[in-house]
Amino acid sequence: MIEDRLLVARFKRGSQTALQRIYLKYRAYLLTLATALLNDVNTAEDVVHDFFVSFAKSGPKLKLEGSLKWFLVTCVMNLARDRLRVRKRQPACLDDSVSIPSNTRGPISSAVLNEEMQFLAQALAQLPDEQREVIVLHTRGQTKFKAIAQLQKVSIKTVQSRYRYGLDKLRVILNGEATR
Amino acid sequence: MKPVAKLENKIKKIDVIPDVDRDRKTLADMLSAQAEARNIDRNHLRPSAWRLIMKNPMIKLSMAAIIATVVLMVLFLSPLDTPAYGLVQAIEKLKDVQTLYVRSTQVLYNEDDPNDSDFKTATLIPKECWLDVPNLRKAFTGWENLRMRDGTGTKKKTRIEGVHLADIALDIRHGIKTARFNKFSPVMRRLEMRGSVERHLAIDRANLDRFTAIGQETIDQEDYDIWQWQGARLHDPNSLRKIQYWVSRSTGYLGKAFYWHKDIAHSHWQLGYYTDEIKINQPLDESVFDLTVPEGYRQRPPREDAMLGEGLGMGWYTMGGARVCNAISFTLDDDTIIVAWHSDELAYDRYKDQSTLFEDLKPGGDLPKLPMVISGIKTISIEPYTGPELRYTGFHLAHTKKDKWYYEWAFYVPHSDPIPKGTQHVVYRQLCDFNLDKAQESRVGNPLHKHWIESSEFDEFVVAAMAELSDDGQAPAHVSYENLMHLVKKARESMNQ
Repeated sequence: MIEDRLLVARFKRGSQTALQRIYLKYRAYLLTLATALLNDVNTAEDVVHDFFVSFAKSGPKLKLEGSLKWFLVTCVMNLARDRLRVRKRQPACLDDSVSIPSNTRGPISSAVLNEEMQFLAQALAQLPDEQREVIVLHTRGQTKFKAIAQLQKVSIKTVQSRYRYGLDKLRVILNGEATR
Repeated sequence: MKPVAKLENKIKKIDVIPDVDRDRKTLADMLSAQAEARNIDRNHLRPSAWRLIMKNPMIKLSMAAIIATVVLMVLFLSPLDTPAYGLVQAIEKLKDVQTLYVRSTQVLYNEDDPNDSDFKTATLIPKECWLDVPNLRKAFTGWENLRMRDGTGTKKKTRIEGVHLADIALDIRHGIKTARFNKFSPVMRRLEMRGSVERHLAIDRANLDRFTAIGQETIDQEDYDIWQWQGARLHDPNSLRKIQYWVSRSTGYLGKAFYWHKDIAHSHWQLGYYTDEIKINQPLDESVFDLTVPEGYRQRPPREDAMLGEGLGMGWYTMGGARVCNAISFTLDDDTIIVAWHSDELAYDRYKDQSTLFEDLKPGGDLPKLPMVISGIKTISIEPYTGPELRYTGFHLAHTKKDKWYYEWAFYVPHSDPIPKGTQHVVYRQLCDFNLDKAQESRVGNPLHKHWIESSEFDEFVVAAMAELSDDGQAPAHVSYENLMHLVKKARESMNQ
């Protein structure tokens, strides 16, 4: 990850090119994680947008000791979790009850997730947030349990349990879909 | 594969493709946030750095010494590296020029040197020009290609010179020892003098913002910043140009200009044209505006018989059985072209009354069925210099009558709106239709030179030219810039339909 270190160094010195490069390198990855967690592409895009705008402002003040990728994942996931919390506090509106990920964005965007992936995303959406987060981060985000444990501020064992329980539940949901 | 592994593989394949518009917005917001934060940081840091210096007496003293040294160096030792005037600013200053003297040289390359193809033998052609802008006076020396009457058909470069005053012009051709006097139309004279300073300095406005300051030079105790741009010729990446301007640090006026070119295949730049002496707003030698004809020269016509040719001095020519006069043309800032012309049929009396042809015409409607009608205009496309060819369709604007002739004033709307970026042309061709007894096919007519004017100059030039080409000295009442733009809009709509 020498490239990332160079990018961060240049970004801290105010390089626009470095900022753009960081964005272009990680945007799709972060958007995928946020979408999987939030079950909503539009909100996920808002999260990624808001994060990068505040990241851009940080410049020389940015204190980064570990990997850039993990830093970005942590920030985006924290923001996504905030959105989930806000969503839970709000009374459900009619649209929420029929909300299907990515379908709200017109024909081009509906191709973002194919049909099978939509089933999977819907199944993921039925998991508790903590379990979904662990599954998404570990499988799609290729994040180690230890790092997820730090992020969720729980023990590794708890994270592993969440992962196991989450997958089992997911299997049941998907099998149900298949046999329905 | 185990069901769990299968499921994990499926989750790994989840991929969301970022939406292009959102992507663009995020990038833009992000970059502006970064720029904003940088500015805030700078503003925030300034007072604390100052406080730091002022807090410590030793640092304060050292800083005072450093500042004093820098100021002294700036004042007495070395010129500043930063240019005193921006190039755009320097070119804008040319609008205020009252008098100008320019000495230029054109470098004409002849045969390739067989010993080194990168070098060619060259002929240097000197040119001089004196401009007195407020008094509409210009004097110049130059050269022309003259075909020798010795039976060989060879051409020789011979000297020419001219003295053009507000109302009369003297042109001398030294090759054939002939002098010619002509009268000037006031509008034509103003049009000619407008922008003449830039024209005689060969300013390349298209690339002004791409020039960079590359150094400084002192000439005759005057300090100059040197600005340079080099790049591909328009639409021809294989041919390069390099332009250098010297801008005075004290006045902001141009002092020198050099124009180079090279093909990518060649390794050396070739100097094509240079202006090595420019005097701005300095008293001109009055003798250069003298209208005395050298002894032994024929005068055709002499001064006392000088006259203003028909159609604001443009004269007439024949084409396809019609006699035609193109009085004047203007190009407006939206690329609409206005052309004034009249035509009559060679087979008939020149002074035949044409009033019936103009009876039922409406502004924005069809053109009159004159013996020759300029129904359209096209640009002369000389790739790679001019960009793609453009075509224009003509509509009636107004008509005027002067000395028995009816002049049609038509406006021409480009088929492309807006015109393609990078389109450059200074000459148009007329697309002509004929209404003659003997059928005549449509033809591409004579060139029309581009006279570009701003909307604010519409009355000064277009309305004034109409008045000059009217027996009563008045332009048609409905002609104004606003009305014309309204007609152009309607014409565009009808063309789109």
